[in-house]
Parts: sequence; structure tokens; C-alpha cells
Amino acid sequence: MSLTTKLIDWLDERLGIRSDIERALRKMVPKQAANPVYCLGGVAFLAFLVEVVTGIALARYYLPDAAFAYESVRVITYEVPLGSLVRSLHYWAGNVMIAAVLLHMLRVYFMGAYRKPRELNWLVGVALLLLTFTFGFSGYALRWDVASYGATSVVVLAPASLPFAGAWVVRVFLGEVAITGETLTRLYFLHVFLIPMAAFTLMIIHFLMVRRQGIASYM
Amino acid sequence: MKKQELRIPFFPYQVVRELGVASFVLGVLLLLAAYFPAPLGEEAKVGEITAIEPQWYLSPLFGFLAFWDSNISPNQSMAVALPVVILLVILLLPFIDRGEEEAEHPLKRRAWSIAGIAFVLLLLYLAYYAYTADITSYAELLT
Repeated sequence: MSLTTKLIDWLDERLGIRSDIERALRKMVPKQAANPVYCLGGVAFLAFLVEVVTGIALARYYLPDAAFAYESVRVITYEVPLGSLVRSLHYWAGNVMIAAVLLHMLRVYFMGAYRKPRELNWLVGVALLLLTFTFGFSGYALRWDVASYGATSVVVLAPASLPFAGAWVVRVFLGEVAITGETLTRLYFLHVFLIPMAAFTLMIIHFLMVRRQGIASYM
Repeated sequence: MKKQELRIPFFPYQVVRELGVASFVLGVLLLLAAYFPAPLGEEAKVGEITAIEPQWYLSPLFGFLAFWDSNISPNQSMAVALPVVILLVILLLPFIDRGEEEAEHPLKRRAWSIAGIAFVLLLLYLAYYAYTADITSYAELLT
């Protein structure tokens, strides 16, 4: 009896998981899922996982305070062993994640795969797109260099000019309608806590719905 | 789900394929990170906007705001409201397009495909506009 079998037996006696594992492994999936256009969502999720791992590593050195933020990124880039590689991986995986999400969305759009019965998953998907953008822009702000500061100012201040709720929404998330040192700390909180929690929850719902409904196909 | 599909077991076929794609993507990420490290410019000073470099995925939005500002009207609230309206249309797409089939070949839904391509081209043009227009002066409006 192999070690794996023993381990599964041990777990099965306590948790009764054997049939679940077997069912999951034997589940039949559509053959056309091999078509590369169907892997874009998975690529986005993989990039997200890379973001989680590299993000945790970066958070050990990053200081979310306007007085120290830039210096801590400089230290990560030039002094921490492998710091530049981890930071660059975080940077590229973020870009790949956004590109994959956008292409995934285009695939769904051009096939009309958002139609009944998948309306709800389209809604969740659009929410995930917005969260991914917010991930990107809040992370860009954390760099706190001249270019990212300018871009962040526009993204934060432009919604405030919206009629009715604009300024209120900005205040809820950032405390004030201005870019100050504290804005950076609040964006950091969004980037490492609020958005990851929301995104992860929606991803699970997204995947469960795909599993329940199958992938849309005209083939 | 309605039609009879060709099906294969998840393990090992799909698993092996997924692992292949995952290894490829991770390899590409490592190469990109090694040869094109993440940039880092000069430190920002609070309250001073000297440069604006939007990320590529937000540049159509920046381009639109700048285009509106210099060609249509200095009234910013309209320029910000319009993308929100477009976003709502995208969000409600499944309730606007009530086609019977659960999916169709893009060539069979020509009107939607043409609209989609036109929208993507518009976004590309606006991104181009953001990179070529002087958007730094636009930021002064905000501060």
C-alpha cells in the first residue's frame, strides 16, 4: 500500500473524503476546453496567486507611510536580496492578470456567453474586472514616485467631480478628497486587505457558478 | 449543456494540460521580471504633480478625460459620468442582449461583433490620445 493511499485512508476514516476526491478527479470536462481562448480566466487566477505570494514577501519590507514609502521601495529594489526580482514579478503578474481578465472578458463578449443562464456570472465578472483595476491602480500608488503620484491624483480626484455621490464615495474610501500622505496608507489598506478579500470571495463564487453551469459553447 | 458534447476526464487529461499552461505562464513571468525589472522614478512630493503616467489599462480613461477637456467642454462632471454610464451598459449587457442561444459564433452575431470591435478601437484611440496629448496640464484642473 503506497504512502498516498495510506494518507488518504487515514483522512477518509476521519473526514470521509474519498468519494469526493474521486468524483472531482473523474468529472468529465468538455473537450473544447483545450482551446486556448478558454484558458484566459485560469491565467488571470494563476497571476493572482503569484500576486498573493510575491505581495506577502513585499509586505515584509514595504512601509505604507508617505515619509518612508518611496525609500522602502528603493531598499526592496536595490538592497534586499532578490528584492528586485520579487518586485518585478509582482509588477508583471499584475499586468498579466489585467491583460488576461480583459481578454477573457472579450472572449465572453464576442461569443455572447453572458446570455441566459450566465447573467449572474457576467455581473460577478464585471465586478472582478473593476476590483482588478483597483488592485492595479492602488498598487501603482504605493510606489510613490513622481509618475505614479500624478496618475493616482487623477484617478482619486476625478470621481469626486461626479454629481451626487462622487465626493462622498471618495471620502468613504480615502477619508478626504485630496492626495495627502494619509491617502497612501488608506490605499495600502485597500490594496492588501479589502480588495484581496473581496476579489477572492467573488472569484470563488465565479468558479462555483462556472462549475455548476459549464462553459458556454457553440461548437 | 443542451447539446451533446465531447467529454474527457478531468484527471489526468485536463490536469496535465493546465499544468503545462501554468508552467508556460510562470516561465514567461520569470523572464519578463528578469529582463524588464519594474521601474522606479524620482520620489513624489505631496501636492506637486509634475508627471502623469497612467497605467496602460487606465490610459483610455485618461485619454477620454483629456480629450473631453480640450475638445468638448471644461465641465468635468459630464466627462466622468459618461464612463460610468458605459460601465452600467456593460454590466447590464445580459439583460439587453436577450438572444436565445447560450453562445454563438461571433460571425453569427454580426451587429454585436461590430459594436465590440468599434468599442475596442475607440479605447485604443483614446489610449493613444493619452500618450500623445499633454495630460499634465489637465491635472492642474483637479488640484
